[in-house]
Amino acid sequence: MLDEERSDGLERLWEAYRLATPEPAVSVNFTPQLWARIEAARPTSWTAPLTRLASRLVPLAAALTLAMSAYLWIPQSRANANTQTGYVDVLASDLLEQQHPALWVANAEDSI
Amino acid sequence: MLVDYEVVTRARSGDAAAFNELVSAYRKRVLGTVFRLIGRQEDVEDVGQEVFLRLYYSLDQLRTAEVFEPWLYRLTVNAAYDYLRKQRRQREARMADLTEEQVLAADAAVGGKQALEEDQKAHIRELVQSLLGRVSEEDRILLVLKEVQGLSLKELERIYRVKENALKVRLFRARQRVLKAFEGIQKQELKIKTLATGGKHVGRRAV
Repeated sequence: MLDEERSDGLERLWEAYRLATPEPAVSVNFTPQLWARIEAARPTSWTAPLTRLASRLVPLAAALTLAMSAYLWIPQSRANANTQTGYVDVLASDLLEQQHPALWVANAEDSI
Repeated sequence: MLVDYEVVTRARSGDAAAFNELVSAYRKRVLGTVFRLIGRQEDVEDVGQEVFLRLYYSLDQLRTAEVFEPWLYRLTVNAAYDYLRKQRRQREARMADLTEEQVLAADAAVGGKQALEEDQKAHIRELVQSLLGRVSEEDRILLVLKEVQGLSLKELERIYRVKENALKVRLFRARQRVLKAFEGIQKQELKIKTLATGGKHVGRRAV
């Protein structure tokens, strides 16, 4: 019941608001001011090519960054892999070189 | 349509005279809508010019001249929405500084002149603005377009680009929220009246 009353009151308020807000009179300066704003918002002749260039450079720079990142990351990971293998290999061969004579001597002593 | 489709087509291709024709034909309607949406006479022309400025720079995105009017409404709604968002932030700062005495004084000043029609209208505008200030900008715009501008659901569908059912749901929720805000305003008005008359009961103000 109260909601209905309130709803009716609101309907009346909308109606009153409609009557209280007629279409306003337009000042004579409306259109000239509008054109002034349009001109002010228009990109100026010397900035326009720069804007176009900048908008083209952005994706190019992004692509270049990606390519360089990939280039830097991939050889490094390969190099890491090579270095690790190489280092292990060197260690292993060093160990073998160190161990072989001893083993050989030991084997020789055993055989004697 | 207030102009021929051909005028829209010419304006789209950069014809300044055709654009002027569009502005002349639609500025009253746009300003009227803006006035109802924002409720501040002093800013109506500024927001109206913003609408036409956006129109000028987006005309090339208009697919066909047939959808010009919903397109213009959409631009109007967006410009009003941006204005209201900015105003809300400023208003919050201002309202925080108002004392209860100032609110009472403002109400008394309006109440004293209510015999005059223009002042009554001003009071109604204030009341509705106060009411609409308590709901979101989205609700405010939707309700004004539907309840005050009297746009049909079909027209709103074209402006909002949503299905009728979704629109009905949005409208229902917006109405519920504004009803709640209306209840709050009625209580507040009663409280202010009671304070102003020194505690004597005063009936609800008829709208």
